[in-house]
Amino acid sequence: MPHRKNFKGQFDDEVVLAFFRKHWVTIFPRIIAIGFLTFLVGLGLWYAVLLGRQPGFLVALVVTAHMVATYLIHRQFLALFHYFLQTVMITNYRIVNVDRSVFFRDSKDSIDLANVQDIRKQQNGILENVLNYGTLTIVLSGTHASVNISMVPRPGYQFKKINKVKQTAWLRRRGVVPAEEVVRAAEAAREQGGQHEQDEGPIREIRSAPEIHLPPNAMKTEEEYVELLERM
Amino acid sequence: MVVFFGLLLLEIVSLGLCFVAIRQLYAYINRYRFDESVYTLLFGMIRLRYFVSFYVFLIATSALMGLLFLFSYLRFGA
Repeated sequence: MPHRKNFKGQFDDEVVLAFFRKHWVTIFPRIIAIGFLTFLVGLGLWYAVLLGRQPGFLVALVVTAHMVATYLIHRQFLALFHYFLQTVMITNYRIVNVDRSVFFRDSKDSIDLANVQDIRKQQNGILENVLNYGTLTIVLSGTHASVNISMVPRPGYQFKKINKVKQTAWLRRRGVVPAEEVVRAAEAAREQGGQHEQDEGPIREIRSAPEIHLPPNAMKTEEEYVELLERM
Repeated sequence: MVVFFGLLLLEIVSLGLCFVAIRQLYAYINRYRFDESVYTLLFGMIRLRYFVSFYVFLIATSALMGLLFLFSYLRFGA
């Protein structure tokens, strides 16, 4: 079944396992500014008729203030939309940083999981620890270069997630299927019963398999796994 | 007359920009959609559409203020 794409340039078999935006601290000043501008607009609306009766100098001042306020409203909201569109995605192949705004930006960086050598999590200072955000530094293999992703919310979770995805990708490149995936695939196939007669792949035979007992840490290659299923 | 046409132009440009921005935004997010959760929403509950609604409301209110001011100016001030 074709799945909906989550970003431009996503591969057909690429799945977004997790995504996050920057921490809300980055747009907190914008939210305060919008609150202040709302107050100003409300005040202006209340006194609009009165202000129109003022002499020339005050009218010019009001018109200028109105122009500046309108500009600031657009600017703050476009920045808010930029915050919502700017995402970092962890997929089964790579880490993708999409920097997209409504009008001005459309850039994308991706780091292949095969190139990730090490990940560092940094949370320095009271604010970062109390509000739970920080910086993830991804060290790339082969070079001394590293990529910083700043203002990451819940950096502990993202750190663990990237490490786990990296480990799974490493195993997959060596033809090893993690045991938990084998068990999950077997359970899904058993639940679906005979609905997928045409499905290809090793899980098609296990519809009628009574039980699969694998030790929790067992890892099987795909060939071994097919053999196991054939024996059942 | 400068005030009249200046303010009128400002409101038209402002409303037009708001419309184009929202159209662009929704064209993008409808094409590339995410399943949001409590961990990805702002403060765990604020969706993008709440901000979009507030944006439209604020720009419309600002335009209304400008027009009220303009009519008052033409009626009493000019």
